[in-house]
Amino acid sequence: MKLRNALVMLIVLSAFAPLVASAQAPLGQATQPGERALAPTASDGGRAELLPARPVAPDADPVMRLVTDTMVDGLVISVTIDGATVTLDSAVLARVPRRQTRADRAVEGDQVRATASIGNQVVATTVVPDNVLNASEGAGLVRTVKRQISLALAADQPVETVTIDAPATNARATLDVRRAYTRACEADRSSKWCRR
Amino acid sequence: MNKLICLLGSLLAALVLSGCAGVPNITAVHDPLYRAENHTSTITVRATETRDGIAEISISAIVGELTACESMSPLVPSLIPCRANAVGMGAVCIFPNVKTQVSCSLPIALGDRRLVTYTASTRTSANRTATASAVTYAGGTPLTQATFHVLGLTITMPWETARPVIWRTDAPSMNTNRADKIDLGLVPDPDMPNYRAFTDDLQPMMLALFYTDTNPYTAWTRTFKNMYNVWAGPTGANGEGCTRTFADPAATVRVAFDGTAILHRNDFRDCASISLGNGAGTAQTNLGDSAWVLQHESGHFLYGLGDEYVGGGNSSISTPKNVYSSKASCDSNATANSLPTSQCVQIGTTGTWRNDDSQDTTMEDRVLSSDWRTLSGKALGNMLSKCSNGSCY
Repeated sequence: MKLRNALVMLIVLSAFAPLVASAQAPLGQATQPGERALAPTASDGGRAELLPARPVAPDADPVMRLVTDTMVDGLVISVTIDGATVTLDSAVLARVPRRQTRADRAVEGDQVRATASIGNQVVATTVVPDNVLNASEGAGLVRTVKRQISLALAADQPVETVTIDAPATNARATLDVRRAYTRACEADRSSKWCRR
Repeated sequence: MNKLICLLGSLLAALVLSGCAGVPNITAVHDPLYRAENHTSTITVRATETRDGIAEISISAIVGELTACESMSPLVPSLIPCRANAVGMGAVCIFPNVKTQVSCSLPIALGDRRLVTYTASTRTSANRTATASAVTYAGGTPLTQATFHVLGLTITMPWETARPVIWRTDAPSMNTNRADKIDLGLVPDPDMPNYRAFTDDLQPMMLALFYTDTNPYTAWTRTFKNMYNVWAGPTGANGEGCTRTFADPAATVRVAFDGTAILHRNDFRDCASISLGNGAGTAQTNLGDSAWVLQHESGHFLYGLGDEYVGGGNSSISTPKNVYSSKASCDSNATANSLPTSQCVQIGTTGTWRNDDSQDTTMEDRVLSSDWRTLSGKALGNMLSKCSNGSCY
């Protein structure tokens, strides 16, 4: 673990190492079509110098390391829950933060549980807060019977249905979410997002 | 004995005051925090060290194209952006060992779909150093489509990502869930004249909450700023009182946030879910105390706190709760949290109870001198512990 920590630190530090010699572009010139470092300034009689630009490899880019570590293939759905009725507003195939897809989340207060299935097989579940209880400033507590919930499920295969349970208003429905994969499947019939 | 205690106290005070003599203090911020247009963004780093003086500030930036992470998973665009064609750039400012605050600024002209990460360090004449942790932000015209190359064909699909305003992208922790941050999302209400108005309005609010304000109500967010990521979302949200709707793309993108504030200009009664994760609320931006209002609403939708004033939403799901349905439960939770039970008082005649130390508190008093106090403060402290342990929610 210590070795892994040290390696991670080394890679991150190297990404921000002093930007030395191997200039890929002249000082003050555009480094890519979309960005240009301009003349830096220093206060209090200081002297400011622009450092040479250099390319940064994806595996040395802290953003790419973070995104690689934390995102997973998933399904984002947005539903409107109105009393006992559940309506699917949207279903989208997307890379989502893994932390937002947890099945073991301990939710305080009202909650919505989502269960993703292919046929009769459950492939993913998650639980999120159900925002029925609201604080209206100067008006007090408001319980909203109609509310909209967005949630993410981790799934690396095409989900067919998602069952929504919202006990706060006795809402339960199984929704057909196959439309989430239409675009990907139309683009590539051999894609894993096409049902066989 | 009293003299000895007094002497020890004086020594302690002297140590605290001299504190970390010789160790420089450093802050870094970019301006504007977010603008969805091509513009010049300036990263400014300030450093102070009064004994030896500041000799150097260096700024390192990585800039590249904001993408939907098309290379990571074929045909699956990402809610959180990636970066392509990254280029490192930076500046060094040399100072004549200045003992007052100095600053070093690096302006960068940003075109379409840019993603910038910066960090900074400073060195004193005695070679003591300090570093500002990495922050990533977006700038320029936003991404509106994802582009995939499949089987020799170019496939495009409409797509928008979350847009980082203040994204803490420092060294990854060993917890790969990266749930150790509170992700605050901001989205525009349709009553904003345009998206530029939305980004203009969020700027002073975020600056106050995380950087520049000096009032007690921002002490928490300023002190623990590294615990928060701030994101801007695309259009699609609509708030009016407690009715909130989210159409795409906002409906999909907000899944990346732990709480979403719909920023609006029209005057209506703000309302927020009392929730811990996936919450939402509204906040009016054109008020003199708009940053305070957002801080208060976030008390509901990020931390699960209830209002502590008469006529508010007197219910809580925080740990501990800051509002109780009986004096007995208020008393027992006060005791459990080392607070005087004598401070448990009824909120008017509502039948709900809270712990009141008579100081201004953010869930009750609409004044800039308010803070998270008594049980609210304990609840936020517990959330900080959960974040430190790797999972805020």
